[in-house]
Amino acid sequence: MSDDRTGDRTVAVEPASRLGVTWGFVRRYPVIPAAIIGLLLFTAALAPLLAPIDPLKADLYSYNAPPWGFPGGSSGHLLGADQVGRDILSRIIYGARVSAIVMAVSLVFGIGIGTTMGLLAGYFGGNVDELIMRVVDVWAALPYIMVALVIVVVLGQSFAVLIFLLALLSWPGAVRLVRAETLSLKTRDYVALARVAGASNTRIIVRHILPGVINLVVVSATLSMGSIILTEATLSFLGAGIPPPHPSWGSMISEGRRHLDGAWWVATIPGVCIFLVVMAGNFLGDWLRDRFDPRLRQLH
Amino acid sequence: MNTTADRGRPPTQPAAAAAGNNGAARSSAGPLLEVKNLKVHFPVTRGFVIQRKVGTVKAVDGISFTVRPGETLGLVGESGSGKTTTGRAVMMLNRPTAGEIRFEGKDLTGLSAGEMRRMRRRMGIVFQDPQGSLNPRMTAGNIVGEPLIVHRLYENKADYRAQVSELLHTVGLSPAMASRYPHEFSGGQRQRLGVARALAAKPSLIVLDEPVSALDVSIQAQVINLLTDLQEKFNLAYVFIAHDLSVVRHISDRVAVMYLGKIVEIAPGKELYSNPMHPYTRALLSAVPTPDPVLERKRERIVLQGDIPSPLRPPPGCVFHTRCPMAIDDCSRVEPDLRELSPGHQVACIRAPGYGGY
Repeated sequence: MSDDRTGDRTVAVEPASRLGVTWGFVRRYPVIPAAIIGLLLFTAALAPLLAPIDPLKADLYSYNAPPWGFPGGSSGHLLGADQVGRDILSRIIYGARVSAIVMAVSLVFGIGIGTTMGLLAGYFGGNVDELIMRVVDVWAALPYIMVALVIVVVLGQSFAVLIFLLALLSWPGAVRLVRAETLSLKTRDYVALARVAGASNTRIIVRHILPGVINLVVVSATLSMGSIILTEATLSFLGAGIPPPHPSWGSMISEGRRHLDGAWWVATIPGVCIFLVVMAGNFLGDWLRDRFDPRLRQLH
Repeated sequence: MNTTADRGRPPTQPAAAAAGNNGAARSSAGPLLEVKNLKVHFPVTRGFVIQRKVGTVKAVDGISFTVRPGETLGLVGESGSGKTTTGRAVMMLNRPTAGEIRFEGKDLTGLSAGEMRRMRRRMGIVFQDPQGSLNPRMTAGNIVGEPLIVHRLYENKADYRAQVSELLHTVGLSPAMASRYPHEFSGGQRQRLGVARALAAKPSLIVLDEPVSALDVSIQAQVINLLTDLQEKFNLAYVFIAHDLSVVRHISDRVAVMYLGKIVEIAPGKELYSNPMHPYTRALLSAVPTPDPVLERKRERIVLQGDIPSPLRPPPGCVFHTRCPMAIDDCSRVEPDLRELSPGHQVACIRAPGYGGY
């Protein structure tokens, strides 16, 4: 029994065990997803301190070494080594930097630019709407990979170019989503009432429409984290991403793909990392959506 | 506590002192609201990319009426008659196509956006759907207090909270409910919140767009009583839109009957109910059931044939002639205007006794 419980409860509550309390907390709050995202950010920030071995150092004696605990594995490479003997754990740790930055960029651009444009297009309609939506349509019609390759050829392969490409990709979907929801919200009676009350357009957008769309945006941004990480992998695979031999989870999968029959760990371990981060993002988004909606807030 | 006491006074006095011009306009005997030949037309477009106009919905087609300070004007008619559009146009929520809306002496149709925002302090509106009228993501206190924030009608946070509490108290809600969200209120309480919000900036005119239609009959009475109490307390003028004639009868000083975007009859409430002159009004009144079963059986009912015609193609002449039990050939040729047949009683029907030549 925890000693912080107050004695004035009117309903007799079964004394909760410490385990029960902990379990309830885990069920109510996204502890595990937050821990995964936290670990990702922590790892990304402190990669040089955490990585046991230089992620670029090839060691042909450890060629395709299996993870520790598997036959032939050693504690020298806890998660095994890839086809040129680079330590997978160290590469995962450094690759977390790429994923973290890519996620941050997709969130900032998806939420920031996408939401702003969507609100403007949906709320003001008319020519503003036409202009913004035509840009979005054109952008959606472009063969993205082609454009990306052309840009890389012109500007050269670098991390900055990769971030720029992913930023360009992340906002049009959000614009459509926000615009559609804005169109629906702006016809609500409470928006008309705000106008009757004398509220300015800015106030109506910020106070009455934005709170109604932000949950959608956050959920869609967390959902799109996965596809953005995969796009980064695609671009890296095509040689338009992180210049090799620098690690990113996507390029690690691309490289390990060919050795799946013999050395499954090379592609699977970064795959599991992507899976965990994307799932964590989805759970966080789900929880945030519930928090944003006052009708669901009281439900535990 | 001072500010709380202030709220008890009729709202016109402090507001008039604050805005000299408006006060002067209102103190003259003229009407508070004067609508002249108001038209609200909506274009109907068809086509993708290249849109062409295929018609015009004449939702409101040339209506005129006045509302005096402290008076209630009932606006009745069946669905599609343009009542709601009229109410929204008075609030400038629908841009009028033509006509004049003079409120406190100023023509609202000519105001810039900024001037209009300042004028909005003096008017409020309550919608039919109490649920949709309240932002689900704002607390009751913030919903009610929004007009105060928009027009900076408070001195400090404590004053703001005191005013919001007083508003909630005025409409019969507990100030402690200010931190609740709309979904935690019942339907009647939500409508009270809507009324509190309309009152916040101390308006002189409130448009009530079917404020009780979505409520239970027992709750309807409570809200109607609240509205009449508030009218007395704050000298409010109401434009009361409804399709329920018994509700309108209870609250209105004068009643205007609308049909297909036009006003067909305006009369003082009692007069309209005892001596309806337009055949449409008579048909409407004959549809009101009587609680006495004996009288109910004897009640003469005028049942109109067919539906209200499309406002896309209103019939020529009198818009009602297609369904009128006493129409003559001239009715499809002559467009009747409103004529005052007895003091305060205006009718637009060439068949009305005493209407005269056309």
